[in-house]
Amino acid sequence: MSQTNRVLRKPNRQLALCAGLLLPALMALPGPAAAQRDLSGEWRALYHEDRGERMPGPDVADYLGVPINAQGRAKADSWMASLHELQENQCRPHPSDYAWRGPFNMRIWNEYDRYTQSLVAVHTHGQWQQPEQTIWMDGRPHPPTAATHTWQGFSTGQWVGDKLHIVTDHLTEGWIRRNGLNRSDYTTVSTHIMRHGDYLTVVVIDYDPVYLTEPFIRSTDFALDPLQRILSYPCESQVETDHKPGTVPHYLPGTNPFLTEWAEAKGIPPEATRGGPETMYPEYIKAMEKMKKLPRSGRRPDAQ
Amino acid sequence: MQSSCKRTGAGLRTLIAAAAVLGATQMNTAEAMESAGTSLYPGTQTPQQQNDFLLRGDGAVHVWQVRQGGPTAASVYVLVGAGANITVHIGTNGMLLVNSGKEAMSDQVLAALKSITTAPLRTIVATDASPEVTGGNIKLGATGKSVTGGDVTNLIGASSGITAILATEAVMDRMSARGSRDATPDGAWPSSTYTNSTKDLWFNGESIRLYHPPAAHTDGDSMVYFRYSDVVSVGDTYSSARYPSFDLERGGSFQGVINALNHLIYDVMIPGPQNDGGTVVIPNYGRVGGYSDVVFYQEMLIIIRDRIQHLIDQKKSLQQVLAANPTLEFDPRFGATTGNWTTTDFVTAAYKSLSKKAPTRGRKGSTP
Repeated sequence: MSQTNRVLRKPNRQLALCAGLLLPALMALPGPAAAQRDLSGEWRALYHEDRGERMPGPDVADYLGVPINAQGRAKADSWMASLHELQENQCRPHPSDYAWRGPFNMRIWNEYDRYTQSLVAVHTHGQWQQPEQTIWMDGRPHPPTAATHTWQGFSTGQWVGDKLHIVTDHLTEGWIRRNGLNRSDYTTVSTHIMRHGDYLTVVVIDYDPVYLTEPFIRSTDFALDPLQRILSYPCESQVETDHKPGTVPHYLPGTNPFLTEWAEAKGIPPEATRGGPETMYPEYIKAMEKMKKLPRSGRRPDAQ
Repeated sequence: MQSSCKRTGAGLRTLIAAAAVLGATQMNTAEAMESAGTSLYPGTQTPQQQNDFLLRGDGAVHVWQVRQGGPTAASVYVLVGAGANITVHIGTNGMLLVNSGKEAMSDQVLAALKSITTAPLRTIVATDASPEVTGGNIKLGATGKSVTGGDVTNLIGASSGITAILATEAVMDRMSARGSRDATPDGAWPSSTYTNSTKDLWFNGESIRLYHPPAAHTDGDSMVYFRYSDVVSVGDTYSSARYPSFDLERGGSFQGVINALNHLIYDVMIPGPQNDGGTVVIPNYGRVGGYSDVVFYQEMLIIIRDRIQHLIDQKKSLQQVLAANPTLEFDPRFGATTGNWTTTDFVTAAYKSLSKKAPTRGRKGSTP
């Protein structure tokens, strides 16, 4: 019998002892890659971030820094806020790509397959209009072109290191700002969620081939708040203003009297307020210096 | 962001910069279409590619389940790619179709139906008289087994090779008129017609109501509402893939389409919580939709109508209206520069229709 065979045949008592001690410990470790993070919990919105944008909302015709094209601008120019008085629009939630910016105290929870204990989906629930987004983590494909679009869309996710990357499509038409800047239902949204201890950063990138010329990127932070209670938010539409059914409030081209109001209040060249991809970049400030300004109005600047 | 900046063409930047001047939003449809499709997520289709698929298909018939049935509830499917979309309603009584698609696609339609059910075909409802809607009536109808009065057929049970075809009287008139562009062999004609604003059926354990919107896509349209399934097949009054096609020569009108949408929104469809879910809408052309899709579409059409009407009131000519581009912001989503229903076709038809001063049934936009 060779030395090698003797070694193989001889019981290695030390190895067996180690295995016996370590195996239970190894079985207690979580299955997924160590880089994945648990996002579940109650997350409080941090409304002081971009407060003017998120609470009172942007001014009419403030498109500065948004990469809209001429169609997106024309759509916003015709927008009238009383559109939201219509009964058919009162229960519209924020679409899932904008919802993070709204009144969105949030809950995240994981859904596991009971048998395999693999992660099936990550769910989010927000307060205002109680939207719920399901992020499928089981590798399922997105629905076909002929399938229904919804306000929350269809989302799939995967871990990229310790970041959750979500791709959402099949969205209903929605908005990227609450002043008529819309994005189309052909938008694809790329969302990245990162956890830093008790803080969560959500980066949302809208790719809209209809109204945007470039991806539109925004980030929003949340803080862990285990004692948070999210209240219910059922919605029932009511007659708020006496609009006849079939009425759609809007401005005809060239008749919106508020297009320069924000520019006058802030002393910003009206041309710059019209937005577009070039207005996203720091070098645009130099270009603005050469643009004509309107006299400052007496309007008190708002919280922005 | 830098890489996406580089992807943006210089010509486009110039175009946008020029348009960024206050009020300078005049673009023609071709420019509007050109400026779309530059902010695409990698691997996704442009709006035009998606619209083309929904309007013209890819040579195959695709099946999509809309409602899952049960022991007492009907199942609803939609077949996409056979011409006009085909709604398939399957239950204990058999199968009812809304539309039969193009004649050339009939074999594929039959194969698709065979893949989802063995239920006998009883009835086809035609939403209008066009070949994309009724082209399969003969071939599909020949596979059916219709149940009729025993004193008529002297049969207990079903009559093989016979399918009831249901449509408005106007559809019958067009399909049976010699020389009509919708003229077809008599086997494709409706076997039952109606002239009222509604017609009711009971099939597969649920009530089905047909609505006849006057003067919408044509003067012979039907919209089919499955009340228990909460699904409505709306014909050509709504589309997720193009501006509404209303045929003035066949009695259609722009305001009639808006009236039909108003009827759907205020009298038929009910959204689920937070405007998702609820009534499902199946258009002849486009994806399966919901309440919000129809509302956005109605809002767009009312805005366009008000713009064109405003220009008509100012005595503007058709050429001036086309030059003013009253559909600017909607063109990259719904417009077309080629095919049989371009943006120019739509605006021209809208101009002619609104110039006729058709009755508006109290529906007016609100502009200051």
